[in-house]
Amino acid sequence: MPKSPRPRPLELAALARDHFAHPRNAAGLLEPAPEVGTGVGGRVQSGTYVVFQVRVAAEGCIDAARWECMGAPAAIAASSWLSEQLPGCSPEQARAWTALGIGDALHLEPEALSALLPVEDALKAALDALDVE
Amino acid sequence: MSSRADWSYLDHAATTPVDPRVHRRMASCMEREGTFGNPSSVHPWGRAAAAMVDQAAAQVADLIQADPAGVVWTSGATEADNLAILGAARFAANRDRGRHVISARTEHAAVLEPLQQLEREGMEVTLLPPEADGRVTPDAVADALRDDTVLVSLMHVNNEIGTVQDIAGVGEVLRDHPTRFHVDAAQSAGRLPIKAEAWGVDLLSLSAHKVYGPKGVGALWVRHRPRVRLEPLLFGGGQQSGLRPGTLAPHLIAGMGEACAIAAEELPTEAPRLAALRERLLHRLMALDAVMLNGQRQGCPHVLNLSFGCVNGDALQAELDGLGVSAGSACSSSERGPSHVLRALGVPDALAHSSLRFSPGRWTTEADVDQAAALVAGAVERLRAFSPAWREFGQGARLDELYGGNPGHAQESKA
Repeated sequence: MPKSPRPRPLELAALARDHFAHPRNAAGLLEPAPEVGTGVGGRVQSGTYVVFQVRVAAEGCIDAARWECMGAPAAIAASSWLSEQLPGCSPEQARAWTALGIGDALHLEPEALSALLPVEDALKAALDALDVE
Repeated sequence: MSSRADWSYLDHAATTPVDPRVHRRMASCMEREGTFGNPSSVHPWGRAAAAMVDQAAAQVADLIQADPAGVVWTSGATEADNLAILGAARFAANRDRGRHVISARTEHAAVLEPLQQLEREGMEVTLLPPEADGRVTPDAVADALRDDTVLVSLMHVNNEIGTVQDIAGVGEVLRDHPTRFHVDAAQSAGRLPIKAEAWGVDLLSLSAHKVYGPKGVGALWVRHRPRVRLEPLLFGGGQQSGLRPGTLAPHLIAGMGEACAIAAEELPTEAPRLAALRERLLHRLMALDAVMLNGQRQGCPHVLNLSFGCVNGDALQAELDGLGVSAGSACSSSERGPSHVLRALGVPDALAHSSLRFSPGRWTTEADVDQAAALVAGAVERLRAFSPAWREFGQGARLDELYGGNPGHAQESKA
């Protein structure tokens, strides 16, 4: 028996796989504006680097989210999926999303969680950057 | 998921399929009336098998331009490396000739791990750091050489990055020193000319399955004139002068002999053909921008190692699932950690993680290479479309700024 079998890339559940294959809201960042918050998570050196943006409409709810992600398939899927959950949320509700919660919602393996932490960090930083909260 | 047949196999540095001519030769040994005898037996069946083994030794020796009497059959290059390193160093240490061994950080685990064993036995090992392209210069070896050095072990061609060491130059440095010189030639056999005798090599490791022969057999060539002596690893019936006892496997040995004969015959045309395929792949993929060549610009014809900047290695691998290349860190990908070879070159871990090793072989065509290049280009471009690192690269950031390390040593493509 081989001592160290070659690890397979983490298998993604169907929902995450679909987001990795067809990422949503990834077609370019929003222009800087007071109602747009931009945040960064992770680092290129560690292999995961995420930029997240949220825009808040006049009535105080998030109406758009954009992202960029250099990361493992789980991080890309999480960024895409999260960007679809945020519109309609208040910034306060948006803060409730953590790596753990995103991982559960996407049925990701526990091993994938570390790749999601930069996504959570980028979202928090984007919310912090909002002038209007 | 596509079937394997839809994809090109570009991983010949990992292993090669058995050539049909080798298969026929082996099959003929394994028939009821085939050459099944024990080569140690003195009756006609044994003598027939022994003659076949002798013929195979001549074929192997011809490929490496060496005396056939020096061929010792092993289970593969790993065993050959172990026998050479442990055997030569222990023989010298047992006779108080010295306890110092020189090798390089970029060697294969089949060399590094026996060296660690020697350290546990009280020997001192110097692992030379490579140049940025993976070379260990003869001067560096000369500087590390001591009066009590008993063994120098260097691979001819690196399995991960294809860097070619100047074996003749190192042999020249060692010519007037009593140390033994071991060369792991598992990757170079059949891809580059090997002149074991002329280069002053004492011990040379070979594997059959890297040259379109069967898995499970290899050889250690041991210089006979002047005689190089080794402590054996195995003890038994005295076969192969007691150096590696055990009943010889005529079908495997005949297969390795045939594989080496074909490799020697085809080398003059195959080497430039592979080099052209490597060049074609290099040219197409460097055009992607932010791609780093790991190794030499003109490396061994069958190994091309590239790091793709601004994408994550796991994502790249997921996109290429099914393509026959080694991903992440080539031979070390089973360990998940960054490759010790790319680390020794100074490649930042994240760039090592997004590296791919392409290794064309005997039946690889230009169309196969083009298909692989198109697949990889498509994957890299898709992932870069939403990569913030790629956007910053496009805005003028350099790869060494983005990755923190110093990838500037290698050749970076930037349009």
